[in-house]
Amino acid sequence: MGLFTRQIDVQLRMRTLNLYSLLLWFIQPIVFSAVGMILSNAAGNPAPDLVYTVIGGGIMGMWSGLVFTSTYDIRSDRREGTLEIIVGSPTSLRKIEAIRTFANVAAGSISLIAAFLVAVLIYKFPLSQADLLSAVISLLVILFGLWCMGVFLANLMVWSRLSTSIVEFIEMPVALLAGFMYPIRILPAWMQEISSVFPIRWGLETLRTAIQGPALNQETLIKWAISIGISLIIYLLSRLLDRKVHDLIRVSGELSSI
Amino acid sequence: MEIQEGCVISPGRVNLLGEHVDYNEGVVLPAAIDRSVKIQFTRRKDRLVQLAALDLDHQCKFNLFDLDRKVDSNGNPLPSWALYPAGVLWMLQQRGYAVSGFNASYRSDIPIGAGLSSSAAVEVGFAVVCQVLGGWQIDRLTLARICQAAEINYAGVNCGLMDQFACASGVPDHLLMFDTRTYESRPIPLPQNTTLVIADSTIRRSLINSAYNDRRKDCDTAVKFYQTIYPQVNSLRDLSPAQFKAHAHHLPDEVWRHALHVVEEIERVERAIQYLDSGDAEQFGKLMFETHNSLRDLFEVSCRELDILVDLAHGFDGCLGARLTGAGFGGCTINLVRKDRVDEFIEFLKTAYQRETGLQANIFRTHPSRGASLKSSSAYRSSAASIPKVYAIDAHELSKTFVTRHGFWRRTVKSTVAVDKISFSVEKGELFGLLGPNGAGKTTTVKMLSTLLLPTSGTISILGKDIQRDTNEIRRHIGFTFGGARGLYGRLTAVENLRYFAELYALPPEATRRRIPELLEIVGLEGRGNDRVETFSSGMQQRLHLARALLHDPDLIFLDEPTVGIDPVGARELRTTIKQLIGHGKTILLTTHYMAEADELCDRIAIIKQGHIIAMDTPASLKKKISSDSIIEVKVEAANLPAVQNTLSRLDSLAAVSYSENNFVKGISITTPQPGAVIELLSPLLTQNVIQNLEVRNQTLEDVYISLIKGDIE
Amino acid sequence: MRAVIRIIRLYFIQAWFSYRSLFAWSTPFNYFASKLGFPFFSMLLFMFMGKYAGFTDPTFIIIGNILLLPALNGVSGISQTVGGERQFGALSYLLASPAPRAPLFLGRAFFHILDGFITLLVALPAAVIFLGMDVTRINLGLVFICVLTLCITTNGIGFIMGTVTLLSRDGWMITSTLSIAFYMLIGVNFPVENLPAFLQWVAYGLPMTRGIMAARLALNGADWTRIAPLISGEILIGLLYIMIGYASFRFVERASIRSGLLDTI
Repeated sequence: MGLFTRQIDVQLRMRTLNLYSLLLWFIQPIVFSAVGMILSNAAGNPAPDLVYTVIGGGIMGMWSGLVFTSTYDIRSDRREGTLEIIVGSPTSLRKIEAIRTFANVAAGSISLIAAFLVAVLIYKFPLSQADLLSAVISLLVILFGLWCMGVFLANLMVWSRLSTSIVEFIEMPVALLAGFMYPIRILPAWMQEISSVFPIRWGLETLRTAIQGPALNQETLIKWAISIGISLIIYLLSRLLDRKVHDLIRVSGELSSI
Repeated sequence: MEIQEGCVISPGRVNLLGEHVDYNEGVVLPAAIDRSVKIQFTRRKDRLVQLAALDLDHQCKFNLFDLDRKVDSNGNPLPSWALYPAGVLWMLQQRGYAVSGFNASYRSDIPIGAGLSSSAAVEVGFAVVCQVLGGWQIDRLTLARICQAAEINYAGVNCGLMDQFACASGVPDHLLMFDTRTYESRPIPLPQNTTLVIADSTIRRSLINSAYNDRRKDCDTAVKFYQTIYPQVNSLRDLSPAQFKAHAHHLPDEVWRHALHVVEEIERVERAIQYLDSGDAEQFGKLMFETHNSLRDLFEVSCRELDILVDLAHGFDGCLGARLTGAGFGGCTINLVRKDRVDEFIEFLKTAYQRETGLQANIFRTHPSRGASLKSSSAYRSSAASIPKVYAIDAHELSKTFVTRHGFWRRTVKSTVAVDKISFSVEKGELFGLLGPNGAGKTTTVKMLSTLLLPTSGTISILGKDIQRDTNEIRRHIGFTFGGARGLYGRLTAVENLRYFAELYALPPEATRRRIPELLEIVGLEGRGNDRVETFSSGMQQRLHLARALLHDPDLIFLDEPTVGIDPVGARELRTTIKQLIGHGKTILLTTHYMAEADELCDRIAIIKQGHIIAMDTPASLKKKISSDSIIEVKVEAANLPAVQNTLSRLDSLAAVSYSENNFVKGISITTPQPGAVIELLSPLLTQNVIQNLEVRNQTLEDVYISLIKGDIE
Repeated sequence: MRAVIRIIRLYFIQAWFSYRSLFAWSTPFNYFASKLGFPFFSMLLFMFMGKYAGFTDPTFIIIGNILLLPALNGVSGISQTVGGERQFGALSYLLASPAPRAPLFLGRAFFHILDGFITLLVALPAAVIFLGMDVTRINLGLVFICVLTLCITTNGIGFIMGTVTLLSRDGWMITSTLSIAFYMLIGVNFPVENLPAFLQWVAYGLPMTRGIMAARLALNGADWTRIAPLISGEILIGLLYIMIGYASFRFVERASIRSGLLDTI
């Protein structure tokens, strides 16, 4: 427990709450939401789809923030030489990554909450018909999915300093495929197939349904189950990876390289 | 091969003639005897010394770093018996000799307090133990003088040099003529067909010290008086009996009598040597009787029991000479007896003495013996055979190859061998140094040992655990720091950093609270705990690193260049901390570029070059690798160079001379086994200002290191 | 003359080394990841956003995103280079050197611009081939001029952001987030006229806005007289930004010597 609180404390102060993630959490949603709204306006729609533009922007910020902090954490630890000390301690890196990612995900959810508030307070998005229970459960399912993906990414980051570029190949494609800013049906069929492997895609669908009306039905339950199932598979993969990575980095000596 | 254990025998001594002249620059005639102190010793890898005085049934353990304070490892004052061995270790360290930790037990068959120098025997014996373990060379006179200085300065007992010299330099079947003015000595054979018999009166007086000091003072008074008459007089040695008697009436009665004994005794020894050289045992014996009378009547240090013993001996036909020996007021007599009558003499003296005094004298024959020496030794510890040893570090055939890829399109794979099949072990409690140029593989080795890198091949066992299998268990018991500013969170305070890392080592919260202020004090950062680490100087960060490495109280600590970037004062403080850690039984592996630091701290050193260990030994033994020659550095103005060269050409094979260029000043470096001779040759040039500067130094570890790295020596 | 040669030499040496040091560890995978990763996938994202809004032809968005490539390259390149030097302590040595500042500073951008230019020359035909972009009316010479202009004028913004990187160790975070705003402001994904009025002011005050407009026109076959005002406006704004960038760099440099700013990494 001490490890958990101490780690969260240090993580939030040192890493998560840095300028960049703050900017990502707020600027990124604003830009993407604005582009979405202006495009909608330019196309002659009477009003933008707030679920996809505003809330989607919030999720976008949260996702980018998570990807960035996961990368930034390890990069900084590598650069500051603390990665070596952490790996050389009896506490496993996996445990530390799990706690750190938790802090990152929890802090990143403010981006989503802010987007919600903007939608409700500024654009007067009607919440009267929303299924709040399902929405909250969906949100938790999304957060769990993000956490599992974050842990996986962090493990990838420890592996090698080169893996930073993998992130470049992950951040936007996931945003593209998981349907943050538009419904999945917009995508070509083959892309829709790929998007199924992202747990957040399923959570997002139920979240949107829940915001617009009653959602606690069989379909929603199945989507939650799929999302949680995929999340768990990703988590298990990262545990397998962790073992491998721990040996690999000690062979390559990339623990301390910058 | 380094000696791990052994036995040193250090004899007592008896003085045949020249009593109380050793502090008056006279010549004495002692002999080492066959009664001795036997010291069994085993090397320790830490800096502790554990002593057991078997005769006293006392034990004592102290830290070599705490000798200044005269306390044992628990901080209690050292017992008085331990002051003699401890003093020698202290003095040796003061003089720059490497002293390693050891366990020793000793037993003596020299009667204590009998004037046979049992304490000098202990001192010299332990000096020899240190010499054997330290692997250094020293001549016997220097050894004796160190022991004398130890007794005076550490044990607080005023003494002359004769006792230690005799214990150290004894020659079998010979007396030693030892000139306490010039320190010249030569062995003189004991007259043929004679034997020495020592008769211990068993009388012990506690006043010996004060009487001894009074008489020393009287001698000084006399010297001062005679200096007013004969300005050239420095000691009583400078006065002939005639000169002395001519003015003696001016002196107080007691001073006069005491000093007269000394003056006459000095003259007596001169005659005695002539008799001995001509083998005249009878005449020599007579002088012994004369000395006793003088000690009794003039110097007034005899007592009834001693007089009885001497009188009885005088009356025995076959006893050539007898006198009290040692400081007096009790103790022993020394008797020169015809070989064929020894048994009778002993029997006679025993009975007669008991009849006269009611006391049982301890009477025994003795032979002049060899001075203190190593009787037996072993490069291996006998215990190693029965108990498998658990090393702190045991690396076997360790290799590490890094594979790097280069090129943009065509990837070329390049493998770099950083460490190539090195093997070494570090014992628990040892401070082991890893030296080598940049890129030699030191840090790679340390990282492999501290679980941060996996070796390409070879095995490592840390504290008996396998590095691949028990990684986490090992991590709990090791601490490590890598030099430089990295490895700390700059935006957090020192305390926050430590708390964070304490969590990683799963320290209980109360232990963390207690430990952090403790550690900050140990590393000298008290009061700075709540400052951000980014505001710290590199030295402070380095010290915080050490605190971090010590958080979980590890048994084994890896310090990779711990003093790099620290100012001299800070570095010295850090070294003191490192010594204290060793004192607390920690094992330390240290890498450093500072040779003096390695020399000061390390028990053993491995020098690593291009991934290979090219030398591994104690600093002292490493230094011996390039001979024990001294180096004389001379600075000469260019114009004066020919004159100096001319002088130096007379040195022939005595020395190796090399020249170094500078614009105006030429440097000459002379490596020689006989620095005295070279200096004697050069000193006229120094007084004539031909030579600007002359400096003598010993070979340092740096000399060895550089020769090894350059490949000059194997 | 020798001084000029020296400055030119310095410019290219600075250019090459700063570029090399950023990509020294690079592999083809890494290189293409950084080239293609973010810009390509964000272009796709915007395309799908446009599709969801109701646009059937993605050409406008594709062209806009491709024309943004050199800008993204230059801005992130310069700020990452300066940020990296700051991190590893090389900046102090650089600033303490007697070398003239302008080539020292400007040199940092050269290869990023060149790199961006080549990327653009590859990306445009690729868009024609793979995305079926209509270029039947293209005025190739003018497109070339527009692209070259854009590559140079983005430097100004790059230098200003580089200065921000100098000011704070987290400066690169600000600059790379702010460059996201390009997607909204300079007519990349939709015409500037669709912006609210005050943002249009901002858009016209930035380099690249006019350049991108000009390039779009040239792709549609416009002649020189139509794009000349846009190009000259673009060049003026671009030079202004370069001067502001250089001046602020000198200012920060002097301020840092007084305050020791650069030592706190």
